[in-house]
Amino acid sequence: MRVDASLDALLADALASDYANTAPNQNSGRLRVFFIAGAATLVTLVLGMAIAQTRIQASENSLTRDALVERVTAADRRVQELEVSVLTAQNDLLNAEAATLAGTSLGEQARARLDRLRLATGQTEVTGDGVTVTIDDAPIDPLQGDETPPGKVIDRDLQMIVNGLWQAGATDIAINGRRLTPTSAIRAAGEAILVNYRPMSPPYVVSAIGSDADQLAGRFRENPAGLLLEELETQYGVIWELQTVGDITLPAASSTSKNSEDAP
Amino acid sequence: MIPAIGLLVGIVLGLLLQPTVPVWLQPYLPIAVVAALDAVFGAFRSVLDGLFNDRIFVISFLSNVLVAAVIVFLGDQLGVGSQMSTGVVVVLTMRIFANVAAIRRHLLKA
Repeated sequence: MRVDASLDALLADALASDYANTAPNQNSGRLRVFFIAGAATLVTLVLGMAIAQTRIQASENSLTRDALVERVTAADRRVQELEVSVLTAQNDLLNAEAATLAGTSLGEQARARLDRLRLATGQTEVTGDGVTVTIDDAPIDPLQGDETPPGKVIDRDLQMIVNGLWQAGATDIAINGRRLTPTSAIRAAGEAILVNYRPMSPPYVVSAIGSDADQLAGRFRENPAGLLLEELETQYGVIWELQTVGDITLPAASSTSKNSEDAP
Repeated sequence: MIPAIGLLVGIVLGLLLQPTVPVWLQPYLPIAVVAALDAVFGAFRSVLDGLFNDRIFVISFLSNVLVAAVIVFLGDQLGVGSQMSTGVVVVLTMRIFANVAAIRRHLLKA
């Protein structure tokens, strides 16, 4: 049985051609042709208007988005400028401090203590042997739909890695070039992971400096964080890699992390 | 030939002039689009059938748009506007399919 024939039969009444049971035009005068042309113009004018309308809508949407993107990048640039000025101010401060403390034995003592504290609180750049743990989201399964995929790295995974590295004997840690201090926070805001209140995007590179890189890597593999990573890989396909690296440099913490309690 | 040019002129005019559709009219635009497509295919079919009649072409287009708009308007007032639009689009799309099937039978004998 022809499918469209049965469809036609089903719809015969409701969908009968408008032109059934009518006679065609007998005379085809010149005026009549223009009448038809005008009618045809009117009909397709609707189509043209619809297309134009959709385009206007789309361009308005992209305009709004572009404006927002522009504002975000401008704000980002401003933050970078401010960070640079903070760093220069910090440098000036260090120089002034060194000048003041030089000479006296009390000054030397104070300076030694300050240096120790600065190192512990991440206020100075450090260089040394260490490890990097690189972790990335599992490849997205196209069948999964747009729900949050289970193989996405979340803030808790990063917290575990960082804590595991501290436990394995790391002295200084940075994530994607952001130094962690005793007051640093690794948190989630919606889909994004915030480190020191700055959004990070995958892949996440956690760099750690320790006195013995090989020992650090070995201990990390065996402690709960390393086991968690193995589990994440086998269960969810999360991609990660542990490497020992010689001579990595971790930047000093930016001022935003020092005042993290005041941040929103 | 001249009517065919009219079809093209309509689209080009709509695209170039970009007439702003008032906000209150915007819900009816999709309906008008489907009705316009239906009118075009119906006219093409009737030309092949040898039944084309310009009066019916104009009247059927206008009345289809009007009835569809009234149905959607009624639906809006009753709070079922989107469902009504869906119904209108379904019926007009079925008509388009029926017309295209007839055109196909004429042109391809299949």
